[in-house]
Amino acid sequence: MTLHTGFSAVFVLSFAFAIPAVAQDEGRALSHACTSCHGIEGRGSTQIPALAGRSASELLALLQELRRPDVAMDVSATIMPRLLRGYDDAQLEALAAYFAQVAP
Amino acid sequence: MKRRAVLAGLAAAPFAPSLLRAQTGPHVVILGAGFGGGSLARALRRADAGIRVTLIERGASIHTCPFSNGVLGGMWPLERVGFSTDGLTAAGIDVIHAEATVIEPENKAVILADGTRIAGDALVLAPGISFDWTAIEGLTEETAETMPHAWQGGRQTQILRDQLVAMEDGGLVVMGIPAPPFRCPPGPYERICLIAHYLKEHKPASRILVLDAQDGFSKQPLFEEAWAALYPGMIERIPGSESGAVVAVDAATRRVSTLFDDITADVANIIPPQTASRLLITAGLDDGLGWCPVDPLSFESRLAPDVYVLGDSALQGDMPKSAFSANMQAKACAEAILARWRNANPQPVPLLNVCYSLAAPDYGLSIADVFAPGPDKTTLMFDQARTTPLGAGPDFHRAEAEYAHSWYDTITSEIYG
Repeated sequence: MTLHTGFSAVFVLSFAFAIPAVAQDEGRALSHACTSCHGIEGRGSTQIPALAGRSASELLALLQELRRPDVAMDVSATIMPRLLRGYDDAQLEALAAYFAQVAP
Repeated sequence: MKRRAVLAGLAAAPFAPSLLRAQTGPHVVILGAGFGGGSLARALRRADAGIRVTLIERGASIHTCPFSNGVLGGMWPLERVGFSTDGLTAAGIDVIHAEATVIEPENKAVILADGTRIAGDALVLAPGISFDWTAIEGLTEETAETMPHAWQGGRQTQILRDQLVAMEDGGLVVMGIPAPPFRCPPGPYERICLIAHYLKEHKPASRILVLDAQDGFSKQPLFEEAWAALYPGMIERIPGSESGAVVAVDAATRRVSTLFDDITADVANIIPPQTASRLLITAGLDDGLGWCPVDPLSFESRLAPDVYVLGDSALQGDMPKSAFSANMQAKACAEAILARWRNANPQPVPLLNVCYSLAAPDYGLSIADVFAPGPDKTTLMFDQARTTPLGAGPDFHRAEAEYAHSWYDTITSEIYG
Protein backbone atom coordinates (compact mmCIF):
# COMPACT_ATOMS: atom_id res chain seq x y z
CA MET A 1 0.00 0.00 0.00
CA THR A 2 2.78 2.40 0.99
CA LEU A 3 4.83 1.36 -1.99
CA HIS A 4 1.89 1.88 -4.33
CA THR A 5 1.12 5.36 -2.98
CA GLY A 6 4.77 6.32 -3.21
CA PHE A 7 4.96 5.13 -6.76
CA SER A 8 1.92 7.09 -7.92
CA ALA A 9 3.19 10.23 -6.19
CA VAL A 10 6.47 9.99 -8.11
CA PHE A 11 4.59 9.30 -11.31
CA VAL A 12 2.29 12.29 -10.84
CA LEU A 13 5.15 14.59 -9.93
CA SER A 14 7.11 13.69 -13.04
CA PHE A 15 3.97 14.04 -15.14
CA ALA A 16 3.34 17.52 -13.75
CA PHE A 17 6.86 18.65 -14.45
CA ALA A 18 6.67 17.17 -17.93
CA ILE A 19 3.80 19.46 -19.06
CA PRO A 20 5.04 21.72 -21.83
CA ALA A 21 4.70 25.46 -21.25
CA VAL A 22 1.90 25.81 -23.79
CA ALA A 23 -0.21 23.15 -22.08
CA GLN A 24 0.51 24.83 -18.74
CA ASP A 25 -0.78 28.11 -20.14
CA GLU A 26 -3.83 26.38 -21.55
CA GLY A 27 -4.52 24.67 -18.23
CA ARG A 28 -4.21 27.97 -16.38
CA ALA A 29 -6.44 29.78 -18.87
CA LEU A 30 -9.04 27.00 -18.62
CA SER A 31 -8.84 26.94 -14.82
CA HIS A 32 -10.32 30.45 -14.45
CA ALA A 33 -13.76 29.01 -15.15
CA CYS A 34 -13.49 26.68 -12.14
CA THR A 35 -12.38 28.98 -9.36
CA SER A 36 -15.53 30.94 -8.54
CA CYS A 37 -16.89 27.61 -7.18
CA HIS A 38 -13.77 25.56 -6.40
CA GLY A 39 -11.85 28.41 -4.76
CA ILE A 40 -8.88 30.54 -5.73
CA GLU A 41 -6.52 28.36 -7.79
CA GLY A 42 -8.81 25.43 -6.97
CA ARG A 43 -7.95 25.43 -3.27
CA GLY A 44 -11.49 24.63 -2.21
CA SER A 45 -14.51 26.20 -0.55
CA THR A 46 -17.03 25.26 2.09
CA GLN A 47 -18.97 22.56 0.21
CA ILE A 48 -17.43 22.33 -3.24
CA PRO A 49 -14.26 20.21 -3.25
CA ALA A 50 -10.70 21.44 -3.73
CA LEU A 51 -8.83 20.54 -6.91
CA ALA A 52 -5.36 21.91 -6.14
CA GLY A 53 -2.60 19.40 -5.48
CA ARG A 54 -4.62 16.28 -6.27
CA SER A 55 -3.02 13.80 -8.62
CA ALA A 56 -3.50 14.54 -12.30
CA SER A 57 -4.59 10.98 -13.00
CA GLU A 58 -7.22 11.10 -10.24
CA LEU A 59 -8.53 14.47 -11.46
CA LEU A 60 -8.63 13.34 -15.08
CA ALA A 61 -10.49 10.14 -14.17
CA LEU A 62 -13.02 12.19 -12.16
CA LEU A 63 -13.52 14.72 -14.94
CA GLN A 64 -14.03 11.99 -17.52
CA GLU A 65 -16.49 10.21 -15.24
CA LEU A 66 -18.43 13.44 -14.59
CA ARG A 67 -18.64 14.12 -18.33
CA ARG A 68 -20.71 10.95 -18.87
CA PRO A 69 -24.33 12.00 -19.55
CA ASP A 70 -25.73 9.11 -17.48
CA VAL A 71 -24.28 10.52 -14.24
CA ALA A 72 -26.37 13.70 -14.59
CA MET A 73 -29.00 12.59 -12.04
CA ASP A 74 -26.39 11.71 -9.42
CA VAL A 75 -26.78 14.07 -6.45
CA SER A 76 -23.04 14.54 -6.05
CA ALA A 77 -22.60 15.40 -9.74
CA THR A 78 -25.19 18.25 -10.00
CA ILE A 79 -23.92 20.78 -12.55
CA MET A 80 -20.65 19.15 -13.61
CA PRO A 81 -22.01 16.86 -16.37
CA ARG A 82 -23.78 19.87 -17.90
CA LEU A 83 -20.58 21.93 -17.95
CA LEU A 84 -18.04 19.29 -18.92
CA ARG A 85 -19.72 18.46 -22.21
CA GLY A 86 -18.13 21.70 -23.45
CA TYR A 87 -14.59 20.33 -22.95
CA ASP A 88 -12.61 17.89 -25.11
CA ASP A 89 -10.13 15.27 -23.82
CA ALA A 90 -7.10 17.50 -24.35
CA GLN A 91 -8.72 20.31 -22.33
CA LEU A 92 -9.58 17.94 -19.47
CA GLU A 93 -5.97 16.71 -19.48
CA ALA A 94 -4.67 20.28 -19.39
CA LEU A 95 -6.99 21.13 -16.49
CA ALA A 96 -6.03 18.02 -14.51
CA ALA A 97 -2.32 18.66 -15.06
CA TYR A 98 -2.68 22.32 -14.09
CA PHE A 99 -4.53 21.75 -10.81
CA ALA A 100 -2.18 18.87 -9.92
CA GLN A 101 0.81 21.22 -9.84
CA VAL A 102 -0.90 23.93 -7.73
CA ALA A 103 0.12 23.76 -4.08
CA PRO A 104 -2.98 22.79 -2.08
CA MET B 1 -21.16 59.50 -35.87
CA LYS B 2 -18.41 62.01 -35.24
CA ARG B 3 -17.31 60.17 -32.13
CA ARG B 4 -17.07 56.86 -33.98
CA ALA B 5 -14.81 58.40 -36.59
CA VAL B 6 -12.55 59.75 -33.87
CA LEU B 7 -12.43 56.37 -32.13
CA ALA B 8 -11.67 54.51 -35.34
CA GLY B 9 -8.73 56.79 -35.96
CA LEU B 10 -7.23 55.86 -32.62
CA ALA B 11 -7.17 52.12 -33.26
CA ALA B 12 -3.40 51.81 -33.63
CA ALA B 13 -0.63 51.34 -31.07
CA PRO B 14 -2.36 49.85 -28.04
CA PHE B 15 -0.54 50.43 -24.76
CA ALA B 16 2.07 52.58 -26.48
CA PRO B 17 2.78 54.64 -23.34
CA SER B 18 3.47 51.60 -21.19
CA LEU B 19 5.67 49.99 -23.82
CA LEU B 20 7.90 53.01 -23.60
CA ARG B 21 8.18 52.60 -19.84
CA ALA B 22 10.43 49.58 -19.54
CA GLN B 23 9.62 47.09 -16.78
CA THR B 24 6.42 48.84 -15.81
CA GLY B 25 3.10 47.16 -16.46
CA PRO B 26 0.16 48.96 -18.01
CA HIS B 27 -2.08 51.12 -15.89
CA VAL B 28 -5.57 49.66 -15.96
CA VAL B 29 -8.45 51.87 -14.83
CA ILE B 30 -11.63 50.04 -13.83
CA LEU B 31 -15.07 51.52 -13.19
CA GLY B 32 -17.23 49.50 -10.79
CA ALA B 33 -16.22 47.11 -8.00
CA GLY B 34 -18.97 44.56 -8.56
CA PHE B 35 -18.67 41.05 -9.96
CA GLY B 36 -17.14 42.31 -13.23
CA GLY B 37 -14.83 45.11 -12.12
CA GLY B 38 -13.90 43.62 -8.75
CA SER B 39 -13.07 40.26 -10.34
CA LEU B 40 -10.97 41.93 -13.03
CA ALA B 41 -8.98 43.96 -10.49
CA ARG B 42 -8.20 40.83 -8.48
CA ALA B 43 -7.38 38.74 -11.57
CA LEU B 44 -4.89 41.35 -12.84
CA ARG B 45 -3.32 41.75 -9.44
CA ARG B 46 -2.96 37.97 -8.97
CA ALA B 47 -1.48 37.54 -12.44
CA ASP B 48 1.14 40.26 -12.40
CA ALA B 49 2.38 42.50 -9.61
CA GLY B 50 3.80 44.97 -12.16
CA ILE B 51 0.38 46.10 -13.33
CA ARG B 52 -1.04 49.24 -11.78
CA VAL B 53 -4.75 48.84 -11.09
CA THR B 54 -7.04 51.75 -10.22
CA LEU B 55 -10.61 50.90 -9.30
CA ILE B 56 -13.33 53.55 -9.11
CA GLU B 57 -16.35 52.68 -6.97
CA ARG B 58 -18.89 55.12 -5.60
CA GLY B 59 -19.55 53.42 -2.26
CA ALA B 60 -17.22 52.15 0.47
CA SER B 61 -19.18 48.92 0.44
CA ILE B 62 -20.93 46.77 -2.13
CA HIS B 63 -24.29 45.10 -1.63
CA THR B 64 -24.73 42.25 -4.06
CA CYS B 65 -27.89 41.34 -5.93
CA PRO B 66 -27.11 37.62 -5.69
CA PHE B 67 -28.50 36.36 -2.38
CA SER B 68 -30.46 39.59 -1.84
CA ASN B 69 -33.70 37.66 -2.35
CA GLY B 70 -32.81 35.76 0.84
CA VAL B 71 -32.92 39.13 2.66
CA LEU B 72 -36.44 39.68 1.31
CA GLY B 73 -37.39 36.18 2.47
CA GLY B 74 -36.11 36.88 5.99
CA MET B 75 -33.49 34.13 5.66
CA TRP B 76 -30.54 36.39 6.51
CA PRO B 77 -29.94 40.11 7.19
CA LEU B 78 -28.73 42.68 4.65
CA GLU B 79 -25.21 42.38 6.11
CA ARG B 80 -24.96 38.89 4.59
CA VAL B 81 -24.81 40.51 1.13
CA GLY B 82 -22.63 43.51 2.08
CA PHE B 83 -18.87 43.64 1.41
CA SER B 84 -16.27 46.28 2.19
CA THR B 85 -13.81 47.27 -0.55
CA ASP B 86 -10.98 47.14 2.03
CA GLY B 87 -9.92 43.71 0.79
CA LEU B 88 -9.35 45.15 -2.67
CA THR B 89 -7.20 47.92 -1.21
CA ALA B 90 -5.24 45.41 0.86
CA ALA B 91 -4.55 43.43 -2.33
CA GLY B 92 -2.66 46.42 -3.76
CA ILE B 93 -5.44 47.94 -5.84
CA ASP B 94 -5.83 51.73 -5.78
CA VAL B 95 -9.48 52.10 -4.83
CA ILE B 96 -10.99 55.54 -5.41
CA HIS B 97 -14.37 56.20 -3.82
CA ALA B 98 -16.04 58.71 -6.10
CA GLU B 99 -18.95 59.15 -8.46
CA ALA B 100 -17.99 58.92 -12.14
CA THR B 101 -19.68 61.61 -14.20
CA VAL B 102 -18.17 61.31 -17.70
CA ILE B 103 -16.35 58.63 -19.67
CA GLU B 104 -13.88 59.64 -22.38
CA PRO B 105 -13.26 56.46 -24.41
CA GLU B 106 -10.77 58.19 -26.69
CA ASN B 107 -8.61 59.08 -23.67
CA LYS B 108 -9.33 55.83 -21.80
CA ALA B 109 -10.37 58.11 -18.96
CA VAL B 110 -13.08 58.57 -16.36
CA ILE B 111 -13.96 62.04 -15.04
CA LEU B 112 -15.01 62.09 -11.40
CA ALA B 113 -17.60 64.35 -9.78
CA ASP B 114 -14.89 66.68 -8.45
CA GLY B 115 -13.46 67.08 -11.97
CA THR B 116 -10.47 64.75 -11.52
CA ARG B 117 -9.58 62.85 -14.67
CA ILE B 118 -8.38 59.25 -14.14
CA ALA B 119 -6.76 57.92 -17.32
CA GLY B 120 -5.00 54.62 -18.02
CA ASP B 121 -3.49 52.52 -20.78
CA ALA B 122 -6.62 50.42 -20.69
CA LEU B 123 -10.08 51.33 -19.40
CA VAL B 124 -12.47 48.64 -18.18
CA LEU B 125 -16.11 49.60 -17.64
CA ALA B 126 -18.25 47.42 -15.39
CA PRO B 127 -20.85 49.80 -13.95
CA GLY B 128 -23.89 47.51 -14.18
CA ILE B 129 -27.29 48.65 -15.41
CA SER B 130 -29.36 51.80 -15.62
CA PHE B 131 -33.15 51.82 -15.42
CA ASP B 132 -35.34 53.13 -18.21
CA TRP B 133 -37.46 55.57 -16.20
CA THR B 134 -39.47 56.55 -19.29
CA ALA B 135 -40.96 53.08 -19.75
CA ILE B 136 -43.63 52.95 -17.03
CA GLU B 137 -45.85 55.99 -16.50
CA GLY B 138 -45.55 57.28 -12.93
CA LEU B 139 -42.47 55.22 -12.07
CA THR B 140 -39.44 57.42 -11.41
CA GLU B 141 -36.36 57.32 -9.22
CA GLU B 142 -38.45 59.17 -6.60
CA THR B 143 -41.56 56.97 -6.70
CA ALA B 144 -39.32 53.89 -6.64
CA GLU B 145 -38.74 54.80 -2.99
CA THR B 146 -42.38 53.77 -2.43
CA MET B 147 -42.56 51.09 -5.10
CA PRO B 148 -39.05 49.66 -4.85
CA HIS B 149 -37.40 47.71 -7.65
CA ALA B 150 -34.79 46.21 -5.33
CA TRP B 151 -32.86 45.38 -8.52
CA GLN B 152 -29.74 47.15 -7.30
CA GLY B 153 -28.51 45.82 -3.96
CA GLY B 154 -28.47 47.62 -0.63
CA ARG B 155 -30.92 50.36 0.28
CA GLN B 156 -33.57 49.29 -2.22
CA THR B 157 -33.43 45.71 -0.90
CA GLN B 158 -34.02 47.01 2.63
CA ILE B 159 -36.96 49.21 1.57
CA LEU B 160 -38.74 46.21 0.05
CA ARG B 161 -37.91 43.99 3.03
CA ASP B 162 -39.29 46.60 5.46
CA GLN B 163 -42.50 46.89 3.44
CA LEU B 164 -42.99 43.11 3.49
CA VAL B 165 -42.46 43.05 7.26
CA ALA B 166 -44.92 45.94 7.77
CA MET B 167 -47.64 44.36 5.59
CA GLU B 168 -50.68 42.82 7.32
CA ASP B 169 -51.47 39.14 6.88
CA GLY B 170 -53.84 38.78 3.93
CA GLY B 171 -52.05 41.49 1.96
CA LEU B 172 -51.38 41.52 -1.77
CA VAL B 173 -47.78 41.71 -3.05
CA VAL B 174 -47.59 42.77 -6.70
CA MET B 175 -44.39 42.16 -8.62
CA GLY B 176 -43.81 43.75 -12.03
CA ILE B 177 -41.26 42.01 -14.27
CA PRO B 178 -39.92 43.82 -17.37
CA ALA B 179 -39.30 42.60 -20.90
CA PRO B 180 -35.83 41.16 -21.47
CA PRO B 181 -32.95 41.70 -21.53
CA PHE B 182 -32.57 42.46 -17.85
CA ARG B 183 -30.08 41.71 -15.09
CA CYS B 184 -30.37 38.15 -13.70
CA PRO B 185 -33.00 36.35 -15.84
CA PRO B 186 -34.06 33.87 -13.09
CA GLY B 187 -33.88 36.52 -10.34
CA PRO B 188 -37.52 37.66 -10.34
CA TYR B 189 -38.75 34.07 -10.12
CA GLU B 190 -36.42 33.22 -7.25
CA ARG B 191 -37.73 36.37 -5.56
CA ILE B 192 -41.32 35.17 -5.94
CA CYS B 193 -40.30 31.93 -4.19
CA LEU B 194 -38.49 33.55 -1.28
CA ILE B 195 -41.16 36.20 -0.66
CA ALA B 196 -43.68 33.33 -0.72
CA HIS B 197 -41.48 31.47 1.77
CA TYR B 198 -41.63 34.47 4.13
CA LEU B 199 -45.37 34.94 3.69
CA LYS B 200 -46.10 31.22 4.17
CA GLU B 201 -44.29 31.30 7.51
CA HIS B 202 -45.53 34.64 8.82
CA LYS B 203 -48.52 35.87 6.79
CA PRO B 204 -50.07 32.76 5.22
CA ALA B 205 -53.29 34.45 4.04
CA SER B 206 -51.30 36.78 1.78
CA ARG B 207 -50.98 36.44 -1.98
CA ILE B 208 -48.47 37.32 -4.71
CA LEU B 209 -49.62 38.64 -8.09
CA VAL B 210 -46.93 38.59 -10.78
CA LEU B 211 -47.42 41.00 -13.69
CA ASP B 212 -44.92 39.78 -16.24
CA ALA B 213 -43.99 41.39 -19.57
CA GLN B 214 -42.39 38.05 -20.54
CA ASP B 215 -44.26 34.97 -21.74
CA GLY B 216 -41.70 32.30 -20.97
CA PHE B 217 -38.87 32.66 -18.48
CA SER B 218 -35.63 31.14 -17.22
CA LYS B 219 -35.94 27.72 -15.56
CA GLN B 220 -39.76 28.04 -15.93
CA PRO B 221 -40.73 24.35 -15.50
CA LEU B 222 -38.51 24.09 -12.42
CA PHE B 223 -39.90 27.23 -10.81
CA GLU B 224 -43.48 26.20 -11.56
CA GLU B 225 -42.75 22.76 -10.08
CA ALA B 226 -41.45 24.48 -6.93
CA TRP B 227 -44.40 26.92 -6.68
CA ALA B 228 -46.90 24.05 -6.91
CA ALA B 229 -45.02 21.92 -4.36
CA LEU B 230 -44.11 24.62 -1.83
CA TYR B 231 -46.59 27.49 -2.19
CA PRO B 232 -49.86 26.11 -3.61
CA GLY B 233 -52.56 28.76 -4.18
CA MET B 234 -50.34 31.66 -3.15
CA ILE B 235 -48.92 32.78 -6.50
CA GLU B 236 -50.78 34.02 -9.59
CA ARG B 237 -48.84 35.03 -12.71
CA ILE B 238 -50.17 36.96 -15.71
CA PRO B 239 -47.82 36.55 -18.70
CA GLY B 240 -47.05 39.13 -21.37
CA SER B 241 -49.40 37.52 -23.90
CA GLU B 242 -52.29 38.23 -21.50
CA SER B 243 -51.27 41.87 -21.05
CA GLY B 244 -49.17 41.15 -17.98
CA ALA B 245 -46.78 44.04 -18.60
CA VAL B 246 -47.02 46.94 -16.15
CA VAL B 247 -47.62 50.18 -18.08
CA ALA B 248 -48.38 52.68 -15.32
CA VAL B 249 -48.26 53.08 -11.54
CA ASP B 250 -49.56 55.54 -8.98
CA ALA B 251 -47.24 55.51 -6.01
CA ALA B 252 -49.59 57.50 -3.73
CA THR B 253 -52.29 54.82 -3.90
CA ARG B 254 -49.99 51.88 -4.77
CA ARG B 255 -52.03 51.30 -7.91
CA VAL B 256 -50.41 49.18 -10.61
CA SER B 257 -51.88 49.18 -14.13
CA THR B 258 -51.59 46.89 -17.10
CA LEU B 259 -53.41 47.55 -20.39
CA PHE B 260 -56.14 45.26 -19.05
CA ASP B 261 -56.51 45.96 -15.37
CA ASP B 262 -55.81 48.26 -12.39
CA ILE B 263 -54.70 46.59 -9.17
CA THR B 264 -54.17 48.13 -5.75
CA ALA B 265 -51.21 46.51 -4.03
CA ASP B 266 -50.19 46.44 -0.38
CA VAL B 267 -46.58 46.03 -1.47
CA ALA B 268 -45.55 46.82 -5.05
CA ASN B 269 -42.16 45.64 -6.30
CA ILE B 270 -41.91 47.05 -9.81
CA ILE B 271 -38.74 46.23 -11.73
CA PRO B 272 -38.29 48.71 -14.61
CA PRO B 273 -36.87 47.83 -18.03
CA GLN B 274 -33.10 48.23 -18.17
CA THR B 275 -30.26 49.47 -20.36
CA ALA B 276 -26.50 49.64 -20.16
CA SER B 277 -25.28 52.22 -17.67
CA ARG B 278 -26.26 55.68 -18.89
CA LEU B 279 -22.63 56.81 -18.50
CA LEU B 280 -21.64 54.36 -21.23
CA ILE B 281 -24.56 55.29 -23.47
CA THR B 282 -23.73 59.00 -23.13
CA ALA B 283 -20.16 58.15 -24.14
CA GLY B 284 -21.48 56.54 -27.33
CA LEU B 285 -20.29 53.06 -26.38
CA ASP B 286 -23.70 51.45 -27.03
CA ASP B 287 -23.76 52.33 -30.74
CA GLY B 288 -27.42 53.31 -30.29
CA LEU B 289 -28.36 49.77 -29.22
CA GLY B 290 -28.89 50.39 -25.48
CA TRP B 291 -26.15 47.85 -24.66
CA CYS B 292 -22.44 48.05 -25.49
CA PRO B 293 -21.15 45.70 -28.20
CA VAL B 294 -17.92 43.89 -27.33
CA ASP B 295 -15.58 41.30 -28.80
CA PRO B 296 -16.48 37.88 -27.31
CA LEU B 297 -12.88 36.81 -26.62
CA SER B 298 -11.44 39.92 -24.96
CA PHE B 299 -14.62 41.90 -24.10
CA GLU B 300 -13.00 44.91 -25.74
CA SER B 301 -15.50 47.47 -27.00
CA ARG B 302 -16.29 47.20 -30.70
CA LEU B 303 -16.17 51.00 -30.79
CA ALA B 304 -13.12 52.03 -28.78
CA PRO B 305 -9.69 50.35 -28.68
CA ASP B 306 -8.33 49.46 -25.24
CA VAL B 307 -11.73 50.11 -23.69
CA TYR B 308 -13.43 47.00 -22.33
CA VAL B 309 -17.01 46.48 -21.12
CA LEU B 310 -17.83 43.69 -18.68
CA GLY B 311 -20.98 42.29 -17.17
CA ASP B 312 -24.51 43.66 -17.40
CA SER B 313 -23.76 46.62 -19.72
CA ALA B 314 -22.04 44.46 -22.35
CA LEU B 315 -23.69 43.19 -25.53
CA GLN B 316 -21.65 40.02 -26.02
CA GLY B 317 -24.07 37.38 -27.31
CA ASP B 318 -25.67 34.55 -25.39
CA MET B 319 -24.29 34.86 -21.85
CA PRO B 320 -26.92 36.05 -19.36
CA LYS B 321 -26.47 39.20 -17.30
CA SER B 322 -25.36 37.41 -14.15
CA ALA B 323 -22.69 37.65 -11.46
CA PHE B 324 -21.12 34.39 -12.63
CA SER B 325 -20.96 35.68 -16.23
CA ALA B 326 -19.41 38.99 -15.19
CA ASN B 327 -16.76 37.16 -13.14
CA MET B 328 -16.03 34.80 -16.04
CA GLN B 329 -15.82 37.68 -18.51
CA ALA B 330 -13.46 39.53 -16.16
CA LYS B 331 -11.04 36.59 -16.14
CA ALA B 332 -11.12 36.35 -19.95
CA CYS B 333 -10.62 40.11 -20.18
CA ALA B 334 -7.66 39.97 -17.77
CA GLU B 335 -6.03 37.30 -19.97
CA ALA B 336 -6.61 39.51 -23.02
CA ILE B 337 -5.15 42.63 -21.39
CA LEU B 338 -2.10 40.68 -20.21
CA ALA B 339 -1.68 39.04 -23.62
CA ARG B 340 -1.77 42.41 -25.40
CA TRP B 341 0.78 43.81 -23.00
CA ARG B 342 3.06 40.81 -23.72
CA ASN B 343 2.36 41.07 -27.44
CA ALA B 344 0.71 37.64 -27.50
CA ASN B 345 -2.74 36.35 -28.39
CA PRO B 346 -5.20 35.30 -25.69
CA GLN B 347 -6.22 31.62 -25.83
CA PRO B 348 -9.88 31.03 -26.55
CA VAL B 349 -11.35 28.95 -23.72
CA PRO B 350 -14.92 27.89 -22.99
CA LEU B 351 -16.89 30.45 -20.98
CA LEU B 352 -19.22 29.20 -18.27
CA ASN B 353 -22.29 30.50 -16.54
CA VAL B 354 -23.94 28.92 -13.54
CA CYS B 355 -26.97 30.48 -11.86
CA TYR B 356 -28.28 28.88 -8.71
CA SER B 357 -31.69 29.92 -7.45
CA LEU B 358 -33.29 29.11 -4.12
CA ALA B 359 -36.97 28.18 -4.07
CA ALA B 360 -36.79 27.71 -0.28
CA PRO B 361 -33.89 27.61 2.20
CA ASP B 362 -33.14 23.94 1.43
CA TYR B 363 -34.42 23.82 -2.14
CA GLY B 364 -31.93 24.89 -4.82
CA LEU B 365 -32.13 24.68 -8.59
CA SER B 366 -29.61 25.61 -11.24
CA ILE B 367 -28.87 26.41 -14.83
CA ALA B 368 -25.34 25.62 -16.03
CA ASP B 369 -24.18 26.56 -19.52
CA VAL B 370 -21.08 26.57 -21.69
CA PHE B 371 -20.42 29.29 -24.26
CA ALA B 372 -17.87 29.43 -27.06
CA PRO B 373 -16.09 32.82 -27.33
CA GLY B 374 -16.96 33.22 -31.00
CA PRO B 375 -17.07 33.35 -33.88
CA ASP B 376 -18.63 36.80 -33.60
CA LYS B 377 -20.41 36.56 -30.24
CA THR B 378 -20.49 34.38 -27.14
CA THR B 379 -22.39 31.35 -28.40
CA LEU B 380 -24.39 28.89 -26.30
CA MET B 381 -22.93 25.44 -27.04
CA PHE B 382 -25.75 23.15 -25.85
CA ASP B 383 -29.42 24.09 -25.85
CA GLN B 384 -30.73 20.92 -24.15
CA ALA B 385 -30.49 19.62 -20.57
CA ARG B 386 -29.23 22.93 -19.21
CA THR B 387 -30.99 22.88 -15.84
CA THR B 388 -31.62 20.75 -12.79
CA PRO B 389 -33.83 17.90 -14.03
CA LEU B 390 -37.56 18.06 -13.28
CA GLY B 391 -38.62 15.71 -10.47
CA ALA B 392 -35.07 15.76 -9.12
CA GLY B 393 -36.14 15.03 -5.54
CA PRO B 394 -35.31 16.57 -2.18
CA ASP B 395 -31.72 15.31 -1.90
CA PHE B 396 -30.79 16.88 -5.23
CA HIS B 397 -32.47 20.19 -4.31
CA ARG B 398 -30.85 20.21 -0.87
CA ALA B 399 -27.42 19.62 -2.43
CA GLU B 400 -27.98 22.46 -4.91
CA ALA B 401 -29.00 24.82 -2.08
CA GLU B 402 -25.75 23.97 -0.27
CA TYR B 403 -23.75 24.47 -3.46
CA ALA B 404 -25.48 27.83 -3.99
CA HIS B 405 -24.21 29.04 -0.60
CA SER B 406 -20.76 27.62 -1.27
CA TRP B 407 -20.57 29.35 -4.67
CA TYR B 408 -21.69 32.69 -3.20
CA ASP B 409 -19.18 32.55 -0.35
CA THR B 410 -16.38 31.54 -2.71
CA ILE B 411 -16.96 34.11 -5.45
CA THR B 412 -17.37 36.95 -2.96
CA SER B 413 -14.19 35.96 -1.12
CA GLU B 414 -12.37 35.68 -4.46
CA ILE B 415 -13.27 39.35 -5.03
CA TYR B 416 -13.60 41.01 -1.61
CA GLY B 417 -11.67 38.65 0.67
